[in-house]
Amino acid sequence: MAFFSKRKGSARQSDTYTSTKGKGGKQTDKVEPLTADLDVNARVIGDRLGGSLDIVLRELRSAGKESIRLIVVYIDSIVDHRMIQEGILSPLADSPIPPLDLQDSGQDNNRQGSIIVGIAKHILSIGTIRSITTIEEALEALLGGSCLILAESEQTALAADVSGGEQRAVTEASTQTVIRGPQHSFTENCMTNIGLLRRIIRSSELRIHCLYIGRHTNTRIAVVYIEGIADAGVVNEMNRRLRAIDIDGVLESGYVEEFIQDKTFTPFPTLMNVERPDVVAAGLLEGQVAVIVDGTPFVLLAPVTFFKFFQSAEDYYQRYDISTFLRMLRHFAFVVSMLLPATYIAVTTFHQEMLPTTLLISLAAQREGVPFPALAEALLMEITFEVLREAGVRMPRAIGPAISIVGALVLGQAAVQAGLVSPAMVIAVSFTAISNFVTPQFNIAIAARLIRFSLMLLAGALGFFGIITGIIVVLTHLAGLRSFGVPYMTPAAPLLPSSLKDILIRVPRWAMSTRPLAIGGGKRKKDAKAPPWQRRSSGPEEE
Amino acid sequence: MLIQRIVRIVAAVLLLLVQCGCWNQIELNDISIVSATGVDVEDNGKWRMSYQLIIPQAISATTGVSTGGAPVYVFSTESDSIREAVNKTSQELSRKLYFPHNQMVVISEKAARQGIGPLLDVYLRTPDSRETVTVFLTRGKARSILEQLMPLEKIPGQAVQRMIENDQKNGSSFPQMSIHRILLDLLGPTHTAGIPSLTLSGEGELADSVDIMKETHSNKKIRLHQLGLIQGDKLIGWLNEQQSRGVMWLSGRIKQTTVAFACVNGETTRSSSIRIEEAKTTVKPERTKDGFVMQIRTKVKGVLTEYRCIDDLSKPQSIRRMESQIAGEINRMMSAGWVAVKKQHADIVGFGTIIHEKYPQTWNKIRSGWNDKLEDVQIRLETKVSVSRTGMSNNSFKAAQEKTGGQR
Repeated sequence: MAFFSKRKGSARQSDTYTSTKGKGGKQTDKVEPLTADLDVNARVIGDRLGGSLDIVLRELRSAGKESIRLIVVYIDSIVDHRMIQEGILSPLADSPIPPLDLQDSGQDNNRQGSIIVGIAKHILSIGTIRSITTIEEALEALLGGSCLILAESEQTALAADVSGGEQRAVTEASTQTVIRGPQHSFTENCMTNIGLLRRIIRSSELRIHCLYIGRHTNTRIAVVYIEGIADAGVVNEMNRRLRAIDIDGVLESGYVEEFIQDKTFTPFPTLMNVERPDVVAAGLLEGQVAVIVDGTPFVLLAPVTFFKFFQSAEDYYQRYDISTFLRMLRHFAFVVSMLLPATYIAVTTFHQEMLPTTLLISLAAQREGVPFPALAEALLMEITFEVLREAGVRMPRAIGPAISIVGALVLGQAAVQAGLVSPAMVIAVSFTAISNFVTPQFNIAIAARLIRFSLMLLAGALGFFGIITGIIVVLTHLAGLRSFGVPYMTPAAPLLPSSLKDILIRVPRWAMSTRPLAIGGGKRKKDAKAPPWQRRSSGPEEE
Repeated sequence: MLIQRIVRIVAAVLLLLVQCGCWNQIELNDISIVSATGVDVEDNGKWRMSYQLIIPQAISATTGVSTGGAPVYVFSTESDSIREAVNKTSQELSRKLYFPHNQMVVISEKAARQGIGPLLDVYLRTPDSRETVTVFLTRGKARSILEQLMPLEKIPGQAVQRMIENDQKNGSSFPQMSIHRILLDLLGPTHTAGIPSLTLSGEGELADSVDIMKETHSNKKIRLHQLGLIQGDKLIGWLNEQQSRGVMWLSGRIKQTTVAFACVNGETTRSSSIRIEEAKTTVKPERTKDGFVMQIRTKVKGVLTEYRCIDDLSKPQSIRRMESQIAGEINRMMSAGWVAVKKQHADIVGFGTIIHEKYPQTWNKIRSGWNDKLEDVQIRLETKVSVSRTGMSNNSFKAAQEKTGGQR
């Protein structure tokens, strides 16, 4: 039925898939068609939903001489009441359904279906309308927030999308904040999120595929990319991996991430989660593919490389020299957060000769009377800190201040005064902790935390030798990782010199003429040179 | 299956870690940091090693527990060999001696006359003693130098080390000799080295108690004294401070110093002074019939810091006269140094090395007994001084006063 406009066509493009996986696997594969009997249809639908509290079955008659019996079904809790009222109920009650011969359609003049077509075409003022022929489709539409319109002696029903209900407004980003740059963030609603993206990328090339995952949650998942920029292979691979997911429910993008990541046994994330529309848009423009999962503000981006995790959105909003400094700082802080406690242990228990004498004396004085070996001391402090940190995330907000007082006292002053730890160790642990927060992406920061502990053990057993061994193992592991086929350490290994200008340093915008080779490749613009007013006077390139 | 394998591998790796033990792991509170070592020889011929141990709690300000005790602890052990003497410390100390942070080694005159070869051997052989340690000689007992406290600094060993560094930077009257440097010199062509000595100057008791530090002055103090000449591995004589400075000039080791000079030639009171900021010495050997002439070119740049002459400094010729006056003074120092070196038969200036580099063939013939052939070496001095600034004022105060009317 060509006239059912696909205004939100994207939402249903992967219908073929939906029927094979999302719905097919949900219940028995038996397909029950709608009958011509209105009451039977209504009863079957009601029964299937188990007579739940929020199911509304509303019977009404259409206006006009040839009054037709209709039943409107919807789930009260997930629809927009105003839309039902203004778009469905009042038009149905007010305007008569035009008879078939008055309808200006090229359809074959079949009595069957004329009422439904008439309603859809002439009466309902709702954007998205689908025709439904089976009970299963009807249920799916209902649960997706549609309003079902059944008509007397029609084997076809209409599903009008009136999904609504309470949802969170678009607010400021809370986990990935910037000082300069757009402040809004994604919400839990998939459509809102897509809208946020569309508003940034007003391109006809933006592609949004939708599919449903989860036997019970039937969660809407949108795959977003830009045609012509994103690698078709990656898009296909993404779809393939998503389709292979068989799971009860998807509550967060993390569920999906674990299924589609390249390697499970690694502390390093091979997908990025982002709650900022501008970051996702930037990723799409570089050729990444985004996966938006309904019900979470965290959108997945793939493929990613190791260094992507150290790029903050703000790097591109601030001047390039400032960004370069901050970029280097972030890499430094990441290394510190992995190595500092281990280095401290190694230096104080194996390589005392490396310290300046005055520092050594100072450390030695602090260690007098500390009962534990340096390794135990460091582990004690680190674990205490991790516990406090976890408590800080989990605890009810009202208890916050109490915890911070306890934390500051226990971790710092009191522990030192009690002679449990040395002050230098407190400094080392605190600086490590602070460094860990510098990394813009939380999940790679956690990787550093995990690795830190094993490096500490190695340092306690073997000193610098152990640390170096650990680093070699980690680097080897990193070099072997891939994210959707892209080597994790690109452009460092394999070395792609032309892509290095956005890794440790961030070159001026006009010099970034090509997209990162590893992900998308291709030219950003035709003229890759500096703007003319900068070319005449010696630009920073020549210096 | 996979998990079982992973568990097994992890367990094996963990076991390996434990198996190798903690190797040379040692906690900070199991070591005692040595800041200075003293080497004496007893009358019975045994080595007497003295150690200055740092007591961290007494030094660190962070602990907050000011013990009021001495910052260091000095004790000695005795044995036929140096390392055995060190080993004997375990009989009277609860912690392992930790040498990598040793700042200085003081060798008594007696031990130095007997030969420092064994000590150098120890330093080359053992990994925990570093070749960067500064070496000093002393006329008396090495141990008493270690016992002496220094003003301002908490760790005497480090204080002495900083003292010689300060002298290097600002006075350049004695060379700073590390074990490494001594090894280079003694194993070099001339087999000689000059090592500065420390002495306890002043009357009265040793400042070996913290109580003495409560006073505004101390009777006895450590100061740099003379330059000991080592030939082979034995001490053979001493140079005084002036001679030592001449040697420093000759060997181009002056960095910054102050040179006092007289206004006119022949005047004995050298009442004006210049701060040398740049000094460069190049030595060129020239063969003559019966020996060598060393062409020593010195280029010096400095700032006038004290001026008591009456010359008008705004005139270039008076500056030039002053410059030649300074050059004469430097030449005098160098000659004095050279005369002393010649007399002691120890080429610590390193002329032998320079000749060796330029005339390797000839050197092979004269190398044996080089130090006795120093008489045949002449020096030709060519010193060029440039006074870059006359300081913040021009003429001397006296001259300025006379100009305004000469009322006195």
